[in-house]
Amino acid sequence: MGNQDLEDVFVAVIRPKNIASLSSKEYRAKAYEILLIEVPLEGKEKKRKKVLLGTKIQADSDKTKSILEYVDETTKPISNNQGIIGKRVVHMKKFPLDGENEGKEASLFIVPINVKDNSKPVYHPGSPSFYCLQDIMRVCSETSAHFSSITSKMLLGLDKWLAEQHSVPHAIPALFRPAPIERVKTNVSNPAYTTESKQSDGLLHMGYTALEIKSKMMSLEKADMCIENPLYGSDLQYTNRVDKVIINPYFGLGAPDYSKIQIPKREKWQHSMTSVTEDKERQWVDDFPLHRSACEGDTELLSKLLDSGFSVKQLDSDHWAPIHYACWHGKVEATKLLLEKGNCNPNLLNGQLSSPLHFAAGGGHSEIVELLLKHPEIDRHIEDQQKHSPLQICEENKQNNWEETVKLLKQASTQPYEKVRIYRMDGSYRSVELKHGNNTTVQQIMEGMRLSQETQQYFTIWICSENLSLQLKPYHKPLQHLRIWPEIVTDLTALDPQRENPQLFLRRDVRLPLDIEKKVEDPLSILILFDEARHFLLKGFFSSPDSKLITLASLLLQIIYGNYDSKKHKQGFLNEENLRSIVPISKVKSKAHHWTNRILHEYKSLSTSEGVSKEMHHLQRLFLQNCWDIPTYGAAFFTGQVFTKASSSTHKVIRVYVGVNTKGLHLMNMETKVLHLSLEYGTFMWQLGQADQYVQIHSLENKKNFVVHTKQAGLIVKLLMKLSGQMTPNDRAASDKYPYG
Amino acid sequence: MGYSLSSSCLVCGFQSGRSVQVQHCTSLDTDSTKSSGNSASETCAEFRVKYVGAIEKLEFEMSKTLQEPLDLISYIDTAQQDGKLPFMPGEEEMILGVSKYGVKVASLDQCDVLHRHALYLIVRMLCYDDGLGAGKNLLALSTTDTKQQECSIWVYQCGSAEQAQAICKVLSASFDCALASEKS
Repeated sequence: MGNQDLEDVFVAVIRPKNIASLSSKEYRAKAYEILLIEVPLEGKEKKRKKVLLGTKIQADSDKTKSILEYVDETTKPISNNQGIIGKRVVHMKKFPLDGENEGKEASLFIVPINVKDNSKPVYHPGSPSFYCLQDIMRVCSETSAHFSSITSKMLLGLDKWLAEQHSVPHAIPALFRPAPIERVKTNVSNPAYTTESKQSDGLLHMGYTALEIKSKMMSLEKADMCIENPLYGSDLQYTNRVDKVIINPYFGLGAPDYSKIQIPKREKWQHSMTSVTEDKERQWVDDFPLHRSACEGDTELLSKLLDSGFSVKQLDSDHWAPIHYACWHGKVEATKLLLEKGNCNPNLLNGQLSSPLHFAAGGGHSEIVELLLKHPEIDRHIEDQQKHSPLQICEENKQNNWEETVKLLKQASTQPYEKVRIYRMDGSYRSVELKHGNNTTVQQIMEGMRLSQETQQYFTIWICSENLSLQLKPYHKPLQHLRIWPEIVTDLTALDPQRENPQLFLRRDVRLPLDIEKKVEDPLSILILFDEARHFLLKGFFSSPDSKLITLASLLLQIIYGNYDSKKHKQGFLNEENLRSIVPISKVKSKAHHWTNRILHEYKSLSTSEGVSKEMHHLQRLFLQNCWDIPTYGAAFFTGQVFTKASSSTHKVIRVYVGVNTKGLHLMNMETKVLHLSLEYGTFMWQLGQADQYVQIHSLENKKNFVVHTKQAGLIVKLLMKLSGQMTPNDRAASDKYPYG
Repeated sequence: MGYSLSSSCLVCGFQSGRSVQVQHCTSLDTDSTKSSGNSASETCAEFRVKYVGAIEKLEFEMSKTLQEPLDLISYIDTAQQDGKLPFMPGEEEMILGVSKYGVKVASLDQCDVLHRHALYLIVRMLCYDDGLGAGKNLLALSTTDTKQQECSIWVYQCGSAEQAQAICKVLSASFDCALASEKS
């Protein structure tokens, strides 16, 4: 070992005088003792100086160990041969040397040791001993002769250093804390890093080498599976949009009684989920056998069901009628059966406002389309909810025989329309085209009547059978009323519906005010009004004095036979047959033959009168003029019954006509045609009875009440309200209940 | 809070540890249990510790001079004395989890992972008294990098000596677990 490898080191062994000084934040030199050696001052025997412990150690050795060993060795003489064990070696600073070693440096190491104990220090010449640091520092200066110069420098440095350490929290306690050996507790080494020198036999831990152990541990880092998010880096926008929200409807209602909640077994509710549709279908089959047979084209069953009275109009749970199923599924025979045997309306709409023609055309069922187009009541221009025609639906869907179907639908548009006869009261009729089959409305028919704009406003379409006449509204579809007439008859009368054969008539609008009628000059309008007035006169509905009836009869003679001819129009001319055409039927037998002279007389004076125009429409208007003051002129007649007290014990039932016109209400005996009562608006009140089965009339003049029992009570009251001008907007809504008049 | 490591992890000889009282220790990492199916070795023991500091990226040669536990303690002591490492940890508590995959230090809510020391990179774990009189125990973890060019020292403070020793035991068990694992 050469000198170059040796390094000069100085060691400051210090100890606190008591434990308390360790926790003091303020540095006091007197709290410490330092180990110094006295050496003779060179040249002066008696004088001595103090120096720090100093030695030479090998530069590349373990300095800590070397220094601690040196301290241990050096201090043996002063503590009963038990050297002082330093806690640690702290390198403080390097100091430049001077004198012969100028240019070199020496390090100062601090070795903290245990707190001063009570053992008596042993003085041994040439050995170090502890000095109070404060005493030392008091005399220490760079030029002090008490210390060697390097020791002075180092002591000053140490003093400063200790002061600094005191200002650092925990530094002083840490400096004097026990040596590592006293503090170590557990050491866990990774067998993968066991050094080779210790691994003498190459196999150390559970039979593995360090390398094998490391590779085993590394394998734990390897993933079994790696899943990459394919969307990562795709710039897909993060969204917190909610797809579905389910809110617990019971939230906030407090804790439920769990004992009462039963959760069905899984099999049960799973089954019930899937079988809901099955159950629904089964239910449908049970509830709607006619629909099902139409759907399947089971004509045999269909026929039986129709016989047993199943309605072809009934809509099922999906709001479809049987014919819709038949047309949808292309069941030709079933459709035919429904139309013919079931008399089903070929334009019947389902709940979604689609017609059988739409279904058949959409499915491309050409045979059914042909069948439907041949039906006299078919509306070939029918539109669905989206205003699509069957042709459009067919061309959009392109199902089955759609090309043939398109051809048929296009052909049909060039075919002539079916016609309906509209009668006048004289028995004549006009045939009007039904552009929309049975969907043609009153308004459309009126337009087809080719009447002048003026004429149209006085008249409208009535539907009449022998004993029931109803005025239709402009939007009514008369052919559909004809179709269901038996039902209407049953609803409104006690008559046998089979005996009531309905026809459509062009008749005076019951709402036509007399003021307007009096201004009518159009010959055709006058003719139609005349025909109607004559009809009612002859049927006995115009109850009036004999003189009025005689005048009207003479006018009729003039109109029918032209000017009076004394040769033709003798006494015997007015036989019973001829009388029937000029006087009310009820008078023909009872009175009329007594009137013949007076009739002929008036006839003669009329014919010879210069002031009377003999133009036909003037005569007809003259006739009407005479009718206008008849109470029941222009009335709509309803039928009903009145109960009167004939004797003290029995009620008598009188069948009556209830006439309602712009004047008021008129009650007429049905058999005798005697007018019982005629009340003008303003002189009476009325009230609709319970269940619309009667109408109660209260006369304000004589305070009498009477009750007419009739199924037509609703219609009567509505017409009274309308013609009396009492109709209010609210009543209008109510009036829809009573569709006629 | 009782120490509730599942006994099966401690195939690795740590059953006795169950009786040790350790502060705030939760046991099962259920997610990893599911993925592997081998619940025995998936156990992760978790402890509440405080982080003192680290000396990172020392030359690997240094780790050789610190092989002796006492040298390591001396080194850390000196580092503290020199102000390179604090004497006391920060206030924040963390979760130190030990499993066969190594040591993971995360925030209390486990949302942030602060350190993760893979098992094969852990060189040693040393538990010792900090010597400052309060009975606090420090946990020194020395690690290396994959190429063994550097080494780092991580210092954590444990709440008690028992906890510190338990951590050491679990890590020791983890080393054994890794060796016992069938995967190679």
